[in-house]
Amino acid sequence: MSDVERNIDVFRRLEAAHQARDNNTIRSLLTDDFTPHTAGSEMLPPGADGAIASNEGSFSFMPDKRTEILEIFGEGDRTVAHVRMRATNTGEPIAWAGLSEATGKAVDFDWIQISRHADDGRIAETWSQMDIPTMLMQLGAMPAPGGM
Amino acid sequence: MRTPDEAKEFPRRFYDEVFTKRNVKYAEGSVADDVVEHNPLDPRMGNDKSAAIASLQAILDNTPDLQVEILDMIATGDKVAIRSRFSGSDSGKGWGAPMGVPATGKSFSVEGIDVVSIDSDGRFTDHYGLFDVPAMMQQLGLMPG
Repeated sequence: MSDVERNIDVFRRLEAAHQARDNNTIRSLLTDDFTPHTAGSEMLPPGADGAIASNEGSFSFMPDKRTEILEIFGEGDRTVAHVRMRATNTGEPIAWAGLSEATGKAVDFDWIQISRHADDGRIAETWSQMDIPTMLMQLGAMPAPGGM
Repeated sequence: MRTPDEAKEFPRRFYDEVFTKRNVKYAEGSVADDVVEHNPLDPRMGNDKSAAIASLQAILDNTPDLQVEILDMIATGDKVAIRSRFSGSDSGKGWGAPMGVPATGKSFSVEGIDVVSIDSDGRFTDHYGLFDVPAMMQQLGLMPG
């Protein structure tokens, strides 16, 4: 297995661990100094604790959250993944979206993540962009262009 | 099959021509006629080549002083991911115009990630891309921080 294939495998196992809320596996696939460069991550605890807090937060809003890797490729120490997430906001209200109660609405949106892998394959840094506007429109927290 | 470094030359040239030299005609030739544009700037534009070109034109029209810096590229022979920073001011047609807000004159600087697929002629056949819309709206005062 090439380093790129191994890194892609690490990303797939990490995504599966997020889905299974398997925090020990999440910890084992991130470096001790894991650093996400994603909007809002500065408010999370450092390292793997932040990744776990973010994942648990998503499940608290959307207990049926499920993700699907649509595409993944890599070069050198980087992987790129295009991920689809589907979920229903039946849990806690999403306060950061300005919502005071759970909407019960379904969301279906994408994100793109670039990961930098350490020499042993563990993920050390990530850069992500989520389709937040689509999610907010689906929740009814933001008007669609041209009015709803 | 081209190398990753050879593949990166296509988006590098595209960014320079379209965003730096503001030459949208270049995009007409380098985007395949049957391209799938997954993330048009406005969903009402659709997902075809005209949506891809209209999205690029809108970015330029909204930002007369646009500056784009490529921060990272990851490639295989036929796919390239580009992480970049878009900076400029809301001094054109108005980023908030779809919401009825005229150009604010305020500055923004946000990151985005794009992924393109490239055919054997070097044309883009597929594009998906996202940028930090919440940060941009906050910087322009179009959304509370």
